[in-house]
Amino acid sequence: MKKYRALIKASLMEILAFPLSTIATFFGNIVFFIFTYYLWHGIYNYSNSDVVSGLTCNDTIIYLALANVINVLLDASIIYHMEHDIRTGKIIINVLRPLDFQLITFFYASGYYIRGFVLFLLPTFLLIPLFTKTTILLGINCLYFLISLIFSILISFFIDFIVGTICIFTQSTWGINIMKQVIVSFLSGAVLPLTFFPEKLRIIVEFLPFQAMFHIPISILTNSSLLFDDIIKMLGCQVLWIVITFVISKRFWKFSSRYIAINGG
Amino acid sequence: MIIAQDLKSKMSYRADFFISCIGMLFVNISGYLSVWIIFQNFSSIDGWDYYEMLFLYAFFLIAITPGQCLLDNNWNLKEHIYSGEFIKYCVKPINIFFYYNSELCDVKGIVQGIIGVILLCYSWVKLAIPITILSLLKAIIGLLGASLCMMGILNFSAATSFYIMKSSIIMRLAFQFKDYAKYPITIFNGIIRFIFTFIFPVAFISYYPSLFIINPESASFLSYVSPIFGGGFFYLSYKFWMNGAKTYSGTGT
Repeated sequence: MKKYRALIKASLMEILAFPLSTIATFFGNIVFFIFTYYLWHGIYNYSNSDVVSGLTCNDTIIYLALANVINVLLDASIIYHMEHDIRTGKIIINVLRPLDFQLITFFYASGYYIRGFVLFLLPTFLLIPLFTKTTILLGINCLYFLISLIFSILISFFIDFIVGTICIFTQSTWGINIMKQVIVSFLSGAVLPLTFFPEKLRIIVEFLPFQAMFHIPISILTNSSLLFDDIIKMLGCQVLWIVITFVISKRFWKFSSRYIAINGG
Repeated sequence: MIIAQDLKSKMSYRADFFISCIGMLFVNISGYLSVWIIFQNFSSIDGWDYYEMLFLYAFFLIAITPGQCLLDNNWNLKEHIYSGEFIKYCVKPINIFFYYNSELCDVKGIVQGIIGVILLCYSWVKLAIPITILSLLKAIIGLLGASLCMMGILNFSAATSFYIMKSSIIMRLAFQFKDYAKYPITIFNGIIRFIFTFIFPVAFISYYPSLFIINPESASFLSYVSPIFGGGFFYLSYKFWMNGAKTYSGTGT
């Protein structure tokens, strides 16, 4: 247990030792927020009603700001790290069992998740009331939000891990990574709130794990009309996806570790 | 000839190339779908309707393609400077800028350009813009100016590597912010609009040139000026880049 804590600490230290990337992302978040604010005012100003598909202008802005920051939080460079690890450290992998590799990768990623939470998510809670003059109701839903966020992190990790194993196979990182980013961002509500999606698309989206990563935690935090039952159902949905993605990631890993062993990486 | 050579070596990494092209396709399909979905719920973005927004988006895609394809080596500039490899570009009698950037050609960027052309034609027809010599000229010159503007942004942000260490964040941020060119600059007021028009000129990548074609009556002075601004901005960025290159070879690190 202690060595895993040391791994997280090491990862966090490494991230903080090269702060430029963090600073750039932090700055980028602020610019994105400002842009989103102005864009959606420009959109809602020309609409006939204040509320469209159940969302007001402020609702949309807050939704997208949170989505962007969660998106950034979940970006733990896992795929590149895995590819690098495989290429350079395959000896270590052969010694340890495959399960350990996934765990080690997770604790490496945890440094990023923690950084994202403290340096990206928390400041957003200050930024939102500053611009929109509304505050996110802080209450028991924050606790559920935290739980939901942790579930999102797990789902995101396993999906990234699966994509990482595919990249090892195809030896193509950029293309697959960008495809995954685009698909996830779009179908999870990070680009546009899912509530705006037309009926047909919404049905498809409901069956994918991506909305569990963004739409669910954001809804839990901002949607004050949710009942306890709804929240439990949403959290349950996330748990289901955690299990599914976990199982798939294990199978993919088993398959590719054999491939690596045969081909010598 | 350079493109043909690069294509040949790329084909040997066929899977990667093919997948990257598909990746590019996905990015742009997602971009298109975002606009489409917004317009399922709303009737306009700051006064611009669906086909006008598509036009803006398409113009943007075509304008950023030359920068993405031809100046791709700019992304490696920081490493080459750091490792000292850059010096080999300085000792040849060829223009450094041309030599450096002709090393690499990002062919998958052409996918973007093709999608841009298709969307542009589609929205052009839907907006019933008359196809005259004048409007075609406006489009071509507008696109030229806009792509020079984009290349200028790339040059400026890459060339900062000549002057400061650890400048990769500037390139990353610049690349992120360029996406804001897809929207009408009128959503901003005051200082922010000024910044995005003159300091980080995304407005000249798509908004002002497009406005000139779609709605010439409401085009302001800035629309007329956009190709000149693009050309001038690129020239300044070129000078900035070359100055950095010359300084580098001077110290001979």
